[in-house]
Amino acid sequence: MADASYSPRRHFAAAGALEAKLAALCQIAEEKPVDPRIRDWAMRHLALDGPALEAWGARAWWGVAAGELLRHYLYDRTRRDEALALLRHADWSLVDAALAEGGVILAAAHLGPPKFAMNALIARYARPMILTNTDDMPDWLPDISGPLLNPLVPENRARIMLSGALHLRAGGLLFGAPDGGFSSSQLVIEAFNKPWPFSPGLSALARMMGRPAFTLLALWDGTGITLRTEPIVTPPSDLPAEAWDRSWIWSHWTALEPVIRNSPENLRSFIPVFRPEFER
Amino acid sequence: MSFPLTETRPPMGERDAIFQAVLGHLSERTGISRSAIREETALGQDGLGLDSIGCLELLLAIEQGCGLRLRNEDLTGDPFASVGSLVDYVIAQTHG
Repeated sequence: MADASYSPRRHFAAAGALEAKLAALCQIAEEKPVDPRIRDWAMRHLALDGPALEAWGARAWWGVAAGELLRHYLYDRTRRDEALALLRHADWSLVDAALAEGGVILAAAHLGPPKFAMNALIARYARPMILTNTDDMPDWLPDISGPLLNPLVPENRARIMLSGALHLRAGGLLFGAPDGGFSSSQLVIEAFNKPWPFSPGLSALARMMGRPAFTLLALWDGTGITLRTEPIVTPPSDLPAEAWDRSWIWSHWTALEPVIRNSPENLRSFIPVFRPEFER
Repeated sequence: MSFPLTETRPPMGERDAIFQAVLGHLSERTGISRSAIREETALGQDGLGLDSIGCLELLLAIEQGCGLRLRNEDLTGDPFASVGSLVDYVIAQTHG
């Protein structure tokens, strides 16, 4: 049991500033024994052991708990700004420059606090098109966002590809996270002793519409958040479609790999493991 | 607007012309004969087997072949539900 006593919902409702709550979580994380599921992942995929694993495990649990706490702030319309105020560094200049020339793809990843990059994007740009799981979204979010399209519903995907293509053609921003491979076809990268599936939908849009793309990551940096934008290298146009998509995904992956290797607090993939306990 | 029609084809209405153009692209892409494809044939797994990327590739090829310029990103209905709905979408875009 990781921490039956920790409830992000109660922590959100408690008095105090968000930053102070995040700092308090550091204390809890350091005092807890490393959860066996986190320990197992670190041993199998990063070959960690000993004190390094203990420190890594504490950071990983903190990231899970902090991410779930932050989600409550982001999903509360009256307190959303407290979460967004954690954004310390955000350099949008590369995106702005590309956007001046036409549509731009922003490839996110399931790293860092959940939904933060999406919300930072909504706060910065008018009507970006966002591909995301809309099942747990607050009902007021569409009032302030651009279109929110759910690619997890298979019947939606062809329409989403068309809407995305025309949005790019109209000079818009298209945001989605290709990692996770939530599509019928997948491109898989083998790394850290495990497969990492990716959906080729965004790369196919970049290829077919001839538009530039950036990896966009919102990552924990202490108890603040830093936004990273890194260009995805456009593959040569004479590559066959699948090789082109694979090359594009690989370029995206090169921005993710060091985060996975060095930054356990940003490994959001642990969140579904802990959420049932946190929500009790 | 131009359509890739042969000279031996009889004169047709706009919808027939676009339907024939769509049939040509579908047949070329899937290897299924034109005669086996009908208005109600599904494009996805229950029919011609196109995935979401294949559907977009098809539509962009139709756009190029027909000299169209698709614009409206706000979709009503599903253009990819069937061959007929795709034809209707292309026609709507033509007049949009």
